[in-house]
Amino acid sequence: MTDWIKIYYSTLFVFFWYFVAINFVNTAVLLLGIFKVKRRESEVSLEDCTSILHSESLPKITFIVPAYNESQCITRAIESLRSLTYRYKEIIIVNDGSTDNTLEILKNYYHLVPIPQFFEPRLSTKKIRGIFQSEKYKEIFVIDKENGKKFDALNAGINACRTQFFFSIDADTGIDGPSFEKIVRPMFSHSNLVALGASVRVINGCTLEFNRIATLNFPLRYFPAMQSLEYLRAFIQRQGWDYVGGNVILSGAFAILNTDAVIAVGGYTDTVAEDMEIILRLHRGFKKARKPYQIRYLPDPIAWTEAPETLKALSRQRRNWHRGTLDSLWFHKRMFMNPRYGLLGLFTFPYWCWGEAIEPIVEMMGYVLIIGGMSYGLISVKILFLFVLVAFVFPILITFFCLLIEEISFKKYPRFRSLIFLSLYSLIENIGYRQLTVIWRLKGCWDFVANYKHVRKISKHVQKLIKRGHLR
Amino acid sequence: MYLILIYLIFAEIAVLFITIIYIAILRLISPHLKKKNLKIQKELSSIIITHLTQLRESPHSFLSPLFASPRNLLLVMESFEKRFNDDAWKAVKKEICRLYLLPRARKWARSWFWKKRFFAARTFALSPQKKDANRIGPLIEDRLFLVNSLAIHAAISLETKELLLAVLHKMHLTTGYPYYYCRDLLIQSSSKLFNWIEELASETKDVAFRLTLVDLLSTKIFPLVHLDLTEDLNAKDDKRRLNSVRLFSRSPQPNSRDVLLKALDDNNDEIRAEASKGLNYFPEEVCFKKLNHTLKDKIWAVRLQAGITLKAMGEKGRTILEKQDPTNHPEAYDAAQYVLRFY
Repeated sequence: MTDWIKIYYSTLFVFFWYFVAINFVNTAVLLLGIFKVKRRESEVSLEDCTSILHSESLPKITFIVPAYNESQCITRAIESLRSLTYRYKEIIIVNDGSTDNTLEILKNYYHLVPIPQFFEPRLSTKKIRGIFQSEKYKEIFVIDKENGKKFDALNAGINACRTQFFFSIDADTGIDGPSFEKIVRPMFSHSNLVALGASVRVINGCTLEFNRIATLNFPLRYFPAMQSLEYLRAFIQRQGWDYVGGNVILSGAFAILNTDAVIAVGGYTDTVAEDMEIILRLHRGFKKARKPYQIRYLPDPIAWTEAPETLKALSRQRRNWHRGTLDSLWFHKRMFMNPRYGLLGLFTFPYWCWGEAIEPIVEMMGYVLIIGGMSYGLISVKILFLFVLVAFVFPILITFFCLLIEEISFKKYPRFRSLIFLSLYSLIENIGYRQLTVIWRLKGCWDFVANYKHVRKISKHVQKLIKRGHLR
Repeated sequence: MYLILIYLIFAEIAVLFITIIYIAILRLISPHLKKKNLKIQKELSSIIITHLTQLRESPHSFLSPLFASPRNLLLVMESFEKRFNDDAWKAVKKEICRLYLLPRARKWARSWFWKKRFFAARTFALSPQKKDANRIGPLIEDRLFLVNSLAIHAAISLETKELLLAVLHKMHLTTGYPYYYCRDLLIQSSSKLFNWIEELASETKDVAFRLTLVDLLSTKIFPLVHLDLTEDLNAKDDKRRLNSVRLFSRSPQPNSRDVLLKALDDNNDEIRAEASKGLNYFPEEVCFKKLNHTLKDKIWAVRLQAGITLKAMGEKGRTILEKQDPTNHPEAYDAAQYVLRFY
């Protein structure tokens, strides 16, 4: 055997080990997650939440909705929040310099009037042009500011937040009312809770009316259907991560955070994955200060978000997400294999580096190796069979596993037809769609490298925030 | 090494496969179980309704084998408890609990399995008996909220001093939702319990425990007979002062006015805001003057509360708000205009 062939087989062997290791971690995390999902589901089914509706003691919560050119869906999102049965709430919409008529729509719909600034800004943001409150619904506030991207809008909302917890919600996300009531108790149950996440589902194909899922259908269109599967898998896997060092991300579409904790670590920062970056910074901040804290993930599907339906929109989203992941991991690279951060530093963070960040690169090289090997007659039936097992069969099994966990727990797709479509799409997901995501994520990697100067600048800023953090 | 790789892959696939089959079997069985349970619950409901509508009191009617399904029976009983409150229902409930639910609950009260303890707690909450007090006590200390919350419900319904003490101790050691839950239950309880709470507050030396008790006393308008809060009002700890000012603010006492007027000069803004709120009960000249002065406070929340109280005090308060000068005191003017518009 020539040296090149030896090198080729050795490299192939390494790639197989890489994917076996990822599959092993995913399986372990899923198996851990299933206990949590089942336990939580039995609690949810037995718990009587009527006391929450009548409570005179529960504290207020704040919903922060950053909005940039959301004229199509902003009122629907606000009505969804306003209709929640939880009485003690404030809704802060941050109009982030929209160029469409988002602010006018809000002014007319909610009879907004200007009010004096009632808060001291604790985080720096772009200039606030005006603050409004609804005469009709006193719990609704609107902050109109210059455009500063989503992270800046969130920081402006946090400045105005007067409650212990705030909910960060996207303007295209609706909330399922009955499910929301079930998270009130976990939210207030732990005095050291810093962040709480819950499952987000794809609303395409369903309708949400007055906080109730009126029709529940698995989306039939290709891209939303694939995303539904991805969301299902990702949110179930995140349950298992809670046992292994903790989650490094809560969905930006819906997350609950402790206001003082976020302010103490300096608020959100300028990155496309501000949701992941803030969680990593919270982990770092609290571990550095040696203060007990909890960042938890509930499997309850509470929020329903619009998934991109077109190739262009989806590709842009995934490219940004991957770039954001790389940004966040780079900002916090000191956590890598650092025992100071416990299991998070020794296991979870490294997994995100080699199992998520560089995975598209490794996968693409794997395809190149296999196709190249086949064209030179180097791939035997045995190797091809192994490749099919690792690359296709295993992921399909993982997806089926997640579908069944969904079936025995929250069962948000009860119709048999939905189950059939879920199963069919999971069979074809790895042929075509998966390869597309690899390309998009590779583009995200390229964006990271191309914008490295900006990444370095923000990284320095993040280190300053960590140093300055006043969690002690 | 290739062999190891292959074995590992097959092992992972085997594990997944077995779990998938297990879950699939569960998925196939569970709808049938659910249907069966619903049928039992429906039949139990119709037996109970027959009793209630025909006012039959004979215990022999409850000897149907369906009553031997404790979980279904408990679910049905709980749903009836939400809808009925008359003597007929109380008699039926008493009989069914005595025959079927309480014996099981007493057996399961100390079970290792949380669902059995949960069953026991639910039964005691449904039909609390004084002789079960020694079983309810340990359930109050249960680590699971779903269990201890119902035990607390049962304890409060029984209105005994020992169980009340257990609930209050549990409450003061917790924070967050379990605290709020207990607080809400106690707010709805009788004045007999509040008398005991006041006694405990006046006797206890534990500052943290006293804070909890004073917080509870502030939830209702309740005349204080034994409790002296002078020490708390002059304490260095902000939380202690706030707690006691809140009591005077929300449950007006004979000396509330003087306490609240003094608290308006406190250096803590939460205390000043709370004091402003309580002056609502005292539409006197000195209070109007003081609130007018508080409208110029440096903290928005204090100014706002002063404005809200002034507006609630009638025409005179409203006049004070309308006469605020935008040039000399713009912050007071802003707060006044805000209150006039939104409250």
